[in-house]
Amino acid sequence: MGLLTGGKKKKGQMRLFTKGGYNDFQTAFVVGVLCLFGIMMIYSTSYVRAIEEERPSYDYAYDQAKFFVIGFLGMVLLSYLNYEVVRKLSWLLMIGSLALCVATLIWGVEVNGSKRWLVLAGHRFQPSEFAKPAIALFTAHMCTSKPKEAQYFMGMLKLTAIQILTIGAIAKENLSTGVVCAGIMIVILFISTNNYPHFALYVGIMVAGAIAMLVAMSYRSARFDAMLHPEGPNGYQVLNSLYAVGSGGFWGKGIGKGIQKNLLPESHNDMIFSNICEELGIFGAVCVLILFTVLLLRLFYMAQDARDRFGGLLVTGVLTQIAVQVIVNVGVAVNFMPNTGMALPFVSYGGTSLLMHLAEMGVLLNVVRQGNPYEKVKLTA
Amino acid sequence: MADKFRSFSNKMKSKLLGVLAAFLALFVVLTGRIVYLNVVKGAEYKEATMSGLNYESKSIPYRRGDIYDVNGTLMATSKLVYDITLEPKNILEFDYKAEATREALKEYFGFTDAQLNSLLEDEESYYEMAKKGVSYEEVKPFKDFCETNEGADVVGVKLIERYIRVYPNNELCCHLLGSASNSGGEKGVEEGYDDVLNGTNGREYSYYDAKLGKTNVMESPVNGYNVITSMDANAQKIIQAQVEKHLAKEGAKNVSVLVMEPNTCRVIALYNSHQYDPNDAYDIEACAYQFETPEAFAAFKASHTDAQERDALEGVWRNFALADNFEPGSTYKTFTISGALEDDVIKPTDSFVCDGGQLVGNYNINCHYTAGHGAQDVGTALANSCNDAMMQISALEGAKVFDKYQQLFGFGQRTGIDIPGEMDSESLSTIIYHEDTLNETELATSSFGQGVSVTMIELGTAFCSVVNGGYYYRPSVGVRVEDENGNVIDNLDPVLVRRTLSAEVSDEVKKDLLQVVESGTGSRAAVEGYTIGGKTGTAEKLPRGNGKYLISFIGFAPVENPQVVVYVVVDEPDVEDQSSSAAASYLFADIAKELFPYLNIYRDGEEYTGVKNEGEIIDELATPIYSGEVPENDVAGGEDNQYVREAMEEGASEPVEGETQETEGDSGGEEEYEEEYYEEENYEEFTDEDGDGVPDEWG
Repeated sequence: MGLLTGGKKKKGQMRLFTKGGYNDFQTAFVVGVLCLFGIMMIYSTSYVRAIEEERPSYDYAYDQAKFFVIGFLGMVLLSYLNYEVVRKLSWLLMIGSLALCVATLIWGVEVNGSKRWLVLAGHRFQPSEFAKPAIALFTAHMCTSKPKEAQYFMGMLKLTAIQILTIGAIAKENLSTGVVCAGIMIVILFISTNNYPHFALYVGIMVAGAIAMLVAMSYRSARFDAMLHPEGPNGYQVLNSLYAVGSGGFWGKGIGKGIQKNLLPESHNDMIFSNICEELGIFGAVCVLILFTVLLLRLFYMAQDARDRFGGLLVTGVLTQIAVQVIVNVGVAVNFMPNTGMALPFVSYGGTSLLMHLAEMGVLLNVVRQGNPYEKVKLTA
Repeated sequence: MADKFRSFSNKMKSKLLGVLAAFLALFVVLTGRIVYLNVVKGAEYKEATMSGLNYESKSIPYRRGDIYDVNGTLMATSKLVYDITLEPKNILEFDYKAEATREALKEYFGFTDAQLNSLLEDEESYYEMAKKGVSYEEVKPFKDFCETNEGADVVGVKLIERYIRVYPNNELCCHLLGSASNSGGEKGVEEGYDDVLNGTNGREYSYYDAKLGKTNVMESPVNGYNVITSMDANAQKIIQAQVEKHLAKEGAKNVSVLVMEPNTCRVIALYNSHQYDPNDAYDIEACAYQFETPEAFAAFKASHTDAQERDALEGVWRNFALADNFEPGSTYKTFTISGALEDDVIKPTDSFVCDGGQLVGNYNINCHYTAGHGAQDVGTALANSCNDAMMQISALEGAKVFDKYQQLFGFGQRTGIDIPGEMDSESLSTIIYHEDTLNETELATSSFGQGVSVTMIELGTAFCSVVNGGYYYRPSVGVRVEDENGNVIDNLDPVLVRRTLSAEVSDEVKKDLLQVVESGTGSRAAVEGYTIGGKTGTAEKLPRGNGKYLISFIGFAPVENPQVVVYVVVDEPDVEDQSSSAAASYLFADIAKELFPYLNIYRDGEEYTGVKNEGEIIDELATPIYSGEVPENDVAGGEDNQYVREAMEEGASEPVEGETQETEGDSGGEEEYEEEYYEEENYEEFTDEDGDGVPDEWG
């Protein structure tokens, strides 16, 4: 099996693994730092909760660390897998995601009033976490395969029909994740298209759909009310988040010394940024944002150096996903946005989310590996 | 794979750069927001997090302070009760716990199975109010049971502490006490001393320290202070009984009785005939008197609006003695002659001829005895309640001097009594005439108490100053503030506001007032054996000609050394000819007969032997009447006295509230409570370093 060993390639046959190329240590390093920092902050925010649940104080952090080790190894391994193989799987992944999201609507487990979880073999996971990379992958694939379709409105719809169905299924229960998915899709489309009036129409329709969804769901209006009036009856979580962010000062209260985490539900998860602000202050918060900025810049250069258009668009999709998630997560913490459950990539507690992010990074590292060699860039420079 | 070599074009790269720039710009905006929250809101938020405002904490209620009467009788107190709430979710978690809990609830609180079933219906609930206001005695055995091994399975029963306000004597002293709810005191001492009676809630909360330990913190509540007042429940009871006895015979729209200690102007008792029970101050039944017939009241109860109900209740709570003004009638003559004597306008021996009337301006104003009293000295004129003589005296005084003494006696101003409900000074000022409005006619009618209006507390306090040697104190009910262990927090000493008369004039007027009772119009108020001085008052209510009168009598005893002032007002006595009613004088006498022995006011020549006339042993001596230090400095004396002069000058320019010279003659004690508790802010602070009760400026 030459395929598996990465042996000599026959004509018309695709290499399964790639060797050599550029090992993107910078990106891996930034990702690793974010994850480790996340584990530290998860410990700081969750030990009280863990004790109250009569678990060891480090339980949440330990969980996350396990996923990190598995995920990081997975990322390294994936960086050797030819991303063309992943592209071949994009149809499968996309259809699979749609199926899972629809299944969630039917058989999902309700937590805090939203059906977002599927239980498989005793493990609870969010199918929408799978959908995000699937949409990035599939949209990048479609826009590369059928570039002409991206130049007019109906073509755009054809390219993104399955994605829109999936996003619809997600957005019904989890609008913010739907927005991230749509963001990924739209940015890839934006990069691919030259017909801006048609693109604007397309975006306009998506936005209208999102607004319709907002209006349809009553609990969402309560969240808007909480955003506008944090002191009001709906604003408990928002107000406590604001207290956390605002009370940190420049250097923060010190790791583990935050008070607000005991009042904030999901403080180790969606609300982790509030606690970073409280315990590490403006300094800590800016450091985290700088780490993400470095990561985004790294991704931008990845796209620049991508061997082909699919690689570039795939990187674009992942870049968008990470950026939008950071913006939504921080936006919620500082009450720029209505409260919504959105993980801070690599940092928030959550196995599915962490594994998927690391897997995506693994695929991207392969894009780098096959990208324009560093030396070549140097030579042409 | 034809598209394999499609490149990520330069155009695409630059578009991606644009997208990236947009994302990073948003990062910057978010950073800005974080900095803004810290810089602008930081202090506020830090405090909010630190204050534990947001802790999952339990509030422990404070206990509102008690109110005692002068003998230490508990007038208002706070009783701890429990509200029982259930947590169905926790109770139903395990069957054996549910069973144990149900059994305990049935045994100790008498719940039935049916009640418990409905309370535990919502299995997800964490809060079901099961029973309110359970006493400590009922809760104690349950608590003890929960401490035992068998009781360990009882879960999800929360006992929430709270205090309820209890008035052990029900409606007795209701207008002095007021009432209190969770939102604080309303009316009376409860409102006037709300700040002292209130405490601060404590709380119980837990937090996690750096070593992962859970720390429970309990901040004890700070209980309110107790207030010891000058009111006397026994005296009030005597008055209540006498008034009720009188009203049973002869009704009236309202009867109010104000009893004061003249040497300090403390209020001993205050009775208005429409009482209410402060235990249930909002009970609409107390409004029944406002309706002519029971049917009308029933109709009102069936159809009233909230505003109407509030108005009706306000009517019940209204303290007539403080809030309502009326024409004083002849009682005002006391002050007319006091002022004239003090200002040396007349001498006690001066003779005034009453010919039955006086031509004032274009009007002939009659004396009530139109045949004329003939020649009379000042004392006789007062005893005869002669209007003609008063008109002549006031004419001699002139508007300026007459108004000066109105001001000095505090008419047209708030007295500043330490319980709320007094009319405001501005209104009070408009219901008497001042120098600029005291024309010939007004001066003439004012001299015998017509055309002017006063409140009971105004006139009572002024009268106290006449009989106590000329010392005008701010009237008060509060005597002392103590903490719950009886440590004195603050002595609320009587506050001397000003001198009104010299001791000589005071003695002279006392003699005249004695004459009123012994041989004059007040003879029906006489009680055998006592030297009582006093003055009657009859005023026809406006609009005149309707035959509606307000009858009053104000008296004091003993004349030599006044110990008590009793002021009785009967509004619209239920008799054919109200003007000739002597209801107030008779009522005074009835009250005096019972009250004076209780207050240890002896008959002339009687010594305290511990044995009553009937031979029965008198209980312990009732608490002695206040013998507060009276300043010895005699500073009255007309315009030679700078304070009198200032009072006149200010009074003349703007005769409104508090403009007269008012000073505090505190004995040098702490002032901090005084400042807080008296709403009236017009009392200037005077230093009193030498502690003689007289401001230093005075000497």
